[in-house]
Amino acid sequence: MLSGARTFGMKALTVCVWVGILFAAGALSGLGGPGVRGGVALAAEAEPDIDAIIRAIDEQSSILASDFTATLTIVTQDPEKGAEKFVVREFRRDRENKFLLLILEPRAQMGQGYLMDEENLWFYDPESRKFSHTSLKERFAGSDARNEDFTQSTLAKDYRVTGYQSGTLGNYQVYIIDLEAVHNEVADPYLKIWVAKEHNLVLKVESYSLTKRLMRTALFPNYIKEGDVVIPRVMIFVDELVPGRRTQITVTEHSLADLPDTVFTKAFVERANR
Amino acid sequence: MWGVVRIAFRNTRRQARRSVLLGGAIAFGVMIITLVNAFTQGAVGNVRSNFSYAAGGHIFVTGTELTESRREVGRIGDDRPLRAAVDPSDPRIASVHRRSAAYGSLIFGARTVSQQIEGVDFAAEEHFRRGLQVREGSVEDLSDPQLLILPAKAADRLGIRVGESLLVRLQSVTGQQNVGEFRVVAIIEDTGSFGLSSAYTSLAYLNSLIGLEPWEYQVFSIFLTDMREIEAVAGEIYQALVDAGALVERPYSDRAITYDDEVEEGVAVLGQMFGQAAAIIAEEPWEGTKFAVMTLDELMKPVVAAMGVLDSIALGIFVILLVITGVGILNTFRMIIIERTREIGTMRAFGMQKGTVRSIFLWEAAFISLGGGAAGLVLAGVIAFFVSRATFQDVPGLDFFLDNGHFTFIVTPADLVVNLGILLFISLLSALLPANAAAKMAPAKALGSHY
Repeated sequence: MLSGARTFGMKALTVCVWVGILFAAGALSGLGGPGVRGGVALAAEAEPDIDAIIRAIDEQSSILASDFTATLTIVTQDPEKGAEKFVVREFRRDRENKFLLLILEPRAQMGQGYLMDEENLWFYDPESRKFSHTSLKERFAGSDARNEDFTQSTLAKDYRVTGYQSGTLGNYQVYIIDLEAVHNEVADPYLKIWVAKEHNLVLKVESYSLTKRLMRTALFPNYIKEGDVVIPRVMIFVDELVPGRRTQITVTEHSLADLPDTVFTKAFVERANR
Repeated sequence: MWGVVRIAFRNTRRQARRSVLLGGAIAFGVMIITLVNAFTQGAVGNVRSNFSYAAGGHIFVTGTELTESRREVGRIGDDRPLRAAVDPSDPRIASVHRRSAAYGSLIFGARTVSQQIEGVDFAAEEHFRRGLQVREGSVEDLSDPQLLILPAKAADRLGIRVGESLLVRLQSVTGQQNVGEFRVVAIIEDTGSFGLSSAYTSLAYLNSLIGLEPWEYQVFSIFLTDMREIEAVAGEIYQALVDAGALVERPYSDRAITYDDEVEEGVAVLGQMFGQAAAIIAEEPWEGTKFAVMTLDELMKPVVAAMGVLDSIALGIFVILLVITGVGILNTFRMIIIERTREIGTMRAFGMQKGTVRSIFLWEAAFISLGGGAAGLVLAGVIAFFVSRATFQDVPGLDFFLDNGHFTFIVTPADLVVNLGILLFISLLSALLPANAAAKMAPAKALGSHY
């Protein structure tokens, strides 16, 4: 008998409590439905156009008109190692598919950077002063977040809808949509997403392995809304394989101001460490 | 000549305290350089044998194929050229292995351990189970496709026993997340005393988890009966693959060693061999499998280069120590000559030639330096003896350099000759000025001096 299976009930309970607390309390208070593109779902309540909803999710998470800067506080709770905190400065330019993550804390890893440059993701280590290849699918700094969690959503390009149903999540009416990857270059072969009918916001995502085992649950209880763009203010990633392990990411000090082109270069990452 | 040596030896003994102090400084320098040289030689040897054990061979042929988006993945799909190029019945070849590998997290309850897992075709590798030292469980029946043979270190950290199941989180060759469920059938001792000991499962099951077909694999490795044949056999395999029209390269055969580049490239190759998914987009696309033939010695270049740096630093420190000691010798001999001015005058008055006087002082310097050198070698030997008997098995990060938990010290004649040669040269050079001054003394003036 699997040891992990003994704690399955406890895990399920934990997730339910999280979902209940975060969503039933109306944590999405920063969003006033009308400003967010919710028309697709409302117009198609009887027979929703799920593909259109998926496209809307991608569109409203993509910051195409400007750049994006924010500070991310990443706290990982591990049953063996305890709590671990990272503070990261994020720079995004979705229209060119570029981003940069610079680690500010802890001190031991200060200056490490992840630079998405055209098609390749580079990891910079200030100790060796070397860039090495890494992947969007890799975990970010040992947390439960992956590098791709910090980029724009590309669900419509990477997945096809295999089924959906209506349901509720806390106080929210949602579509629960099953997605299957259309190619083998995304980390999650299968996804199940909970999308609020009111404003097409993704509230919860379950990631399944190639063997269709639940690996991770992501919760997005709070969003920042800037014009037509929405960015999760809080992200919670629950490891479904290791009981008690989860990561919370909180976004602060966000800005949509344009950034110099030099930010998304290796030279900038190197200079940031001098 | 013999008389000169005898006088020099007597003089050295006569001023024992001074000689011991000078010799002690020299002994310290010789001890340090000898220990560092011996340590690096031993460490390179240990790393070589540990790496051979962990990587599972002396010669490796990897295959790389491209995904639709031109990303490189480690996979040998069609291995017919390879089978034609390698004749397992060649007496120089001890065994061949076709393996896949993945680097994943073993999960048992709330405990996790990072571990390399190798997929083995147990039916094809009949001798596989013979090489394992089973601590718990059995490797007699390896028919369960989801079996896992686990190294003791990983089992202890997880707190898992034979018969229990665990989960493994890993990535496919294209980087997709996957989870496998395994049942532990045996726990094995880490025979290589190397921190990267593999866990083993069936090739077909591991392939199914990392996105390969059951017959595919990632690394073709060859153990030789004599490691001196590495270069010859690797060259023949490469040529046979070329002749068969296969895409093949020897990426590390003719490279000049530049430490940084080799480390970076070496890490990339090791990553591929140890099951890490690549994310690199190929600059030039190709069709089918591109083979790469590599040898243990080529993959060891970064380690050898690192050890070479350590040796160079030690040599630099040794020379600095000797220069400082040389200044000491210079000053000491100047004092000696002042003290012995009348004695020099007497010897010269009795007919001793200038060259003989010079030789006496140079021989004294040689005795002090060689005596100090010998003492340094003895000290180094004693320290190496005790250190090599201490166990460092549990010190994190040292596994790679150890032989069954112990440091190994190997002194090569070449290192000895070079170090003692430098020592003698600097000592004689330091004594030469005072010795010349002594030789040039006028006997009458020397006899009449009062110090």
